[in-house]
Amino acid sequence: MRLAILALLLTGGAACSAQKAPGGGDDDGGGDDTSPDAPPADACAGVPAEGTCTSATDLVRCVDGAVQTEACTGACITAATGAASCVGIEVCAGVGPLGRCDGDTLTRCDGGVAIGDCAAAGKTCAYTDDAVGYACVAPASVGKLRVAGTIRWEDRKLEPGVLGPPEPVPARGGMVALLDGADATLATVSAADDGTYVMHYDAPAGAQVRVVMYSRSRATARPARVRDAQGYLHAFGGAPFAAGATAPQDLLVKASATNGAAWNVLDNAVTAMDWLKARGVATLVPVYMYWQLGARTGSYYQGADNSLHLDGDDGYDDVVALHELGHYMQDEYSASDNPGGAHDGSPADPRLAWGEGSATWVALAIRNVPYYIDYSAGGGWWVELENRVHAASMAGGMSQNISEWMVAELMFDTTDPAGEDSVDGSVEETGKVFFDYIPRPAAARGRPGIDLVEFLDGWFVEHGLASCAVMRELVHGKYKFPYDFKGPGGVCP
Amino acid sequence: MRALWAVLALCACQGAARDEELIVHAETAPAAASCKPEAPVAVVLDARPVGGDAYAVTVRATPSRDVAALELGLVLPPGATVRGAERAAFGATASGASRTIVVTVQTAGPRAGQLTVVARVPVEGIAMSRTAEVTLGTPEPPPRTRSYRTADGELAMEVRP
Repeated sequence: MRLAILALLLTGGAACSAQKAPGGGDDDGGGDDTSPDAPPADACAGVPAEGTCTSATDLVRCVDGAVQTEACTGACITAATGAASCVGIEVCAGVGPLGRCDGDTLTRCDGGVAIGDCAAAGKTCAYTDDAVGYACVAPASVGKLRVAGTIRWEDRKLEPGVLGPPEPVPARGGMVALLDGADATLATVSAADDGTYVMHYDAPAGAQVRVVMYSRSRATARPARVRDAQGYLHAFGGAPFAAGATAPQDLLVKASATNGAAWNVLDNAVTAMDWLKARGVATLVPVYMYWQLGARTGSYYQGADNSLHLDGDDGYDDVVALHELGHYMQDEYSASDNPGGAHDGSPADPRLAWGEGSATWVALAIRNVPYYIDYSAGGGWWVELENRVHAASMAGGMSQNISEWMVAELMFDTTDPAGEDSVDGSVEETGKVFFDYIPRPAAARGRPGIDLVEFLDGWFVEHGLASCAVMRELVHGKYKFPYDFKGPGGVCP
Repeated sequence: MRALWAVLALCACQGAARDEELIVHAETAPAAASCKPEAPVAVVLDARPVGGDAYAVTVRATPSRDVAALELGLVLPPGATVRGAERAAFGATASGASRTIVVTVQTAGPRAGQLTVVARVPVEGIAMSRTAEVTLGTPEPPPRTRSYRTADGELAMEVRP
């Protein structure tokens, strides 16, 4: 916030210095314009035709002798020419929580858009730390040399049975460092969400240095890292160059590299943490992910040390990674009493079905695609979870064994719009039960511990009884689960 | 002449020993620690060099629960061919019962390639699969790497282009 204010001050300063008399002239006011068609010289009271920013989001300009005000959806910015204009929130797409430097132009998107010219304030745009990120700082406070560039990796789009061709994408928030020939670190920063980075450093003239990208997100808003099976961060280094060189230092990790998928794993963590932020989670706990090509570890999450292990062939398996991150969310921000062990989707202990099914729901909800996909050579396997029904039995009790697929299917039905099912839901509504009710259930019904019954109880506690009819159609009609609709939220009619 | 025979005999023995050492093996099974849903079947894959860039391949799949069907298939390295059935479909298979296929895979040359076996079993109406994979031929040299500690002490393994 402090930086946003600073940036706004910079913006405002630039706008003020660029103000001109109406008509754009630099005369003494233009009061001698006697044309009958000309607007009164001071009709706009000094507001220029090219506009000026009056606040972070308000733009005024003189149009046909009248002042027009525009409320910007993103921010009001002033160009080097002095002209002001509105930019939309779309400029934040490549910024991220730590801001971005483009030369000495600082862009921050902390709640709103703020774009400022650091140089106009005698400062430079540079990385400060992993909490604040990029900011306008005094030149004397950073290294004298500067290197910038873009870090990317090759994604492979996941679809049922298919991994798409390699496609370069930015390493959002990725850690970047500058190292000397002895592997000593001269500077460490985080890339913006468009993969761009700026590092300031000091090094002896002519020293050979190199830029290295790491499979880690250092931002406190996205604390995640990906290590190999031995516990080493994956890293990819560029060619050495002479310190002080100004050419951009761009890096691209190929999908064919032995460590290429590490950045895909990291990107899934970034996605999951941004999703958590959007659900109101203020402080994120670090997650330590482990992936190595060829490793046969299986894929699982361990709450004791927040470690998330992905099998060697799951590097591009976004759904598997997000499913495991769903377990991380259960561990830190929701709850599960999953007894664990091997499982294959067939009816199982309802606490396991909740633990696994709700983790799968997290993956489906984040992607907004109702498919669980586990890709491997030969295509792997997948299951569609919107139209398919893994029903329970109305003859069984509320504590009967159920399929984890049914839990995921039912939760996704409460998340997506009505159409394929009776419930017109949203991620927010389902997420409210997952994040708010499940950690502190008002009653333990069904099997002792957290299971689907607690989710349904929570639905009515959080959202009232207005949805009784559509939920009954969903739970009894579609899934044949004998929920009694008499939970702590009330008794459905 | 006796010395020459001795040398030939030694070479033959060494050749046989090398072949044994070159058997490549892979196996996967439902992991107790794994929390992702997994196909309830264990797969073992052995590939034994038989000369001329060919391999005798044995695949054994053993479901860990009764399954209505079991299918085995091979994904060959580029340019490779197979003598024998590349795919085999078995009927209902009881938990613990094994299904086996034996084939010969002829690779296109000594350069490495991945041979993968895919075992598919239906569970809850879903064709779940498990793979096992071996490298046939001479593996690619590992990438150039260097390891060190980052500024905050974390270990890193850097791949160089």
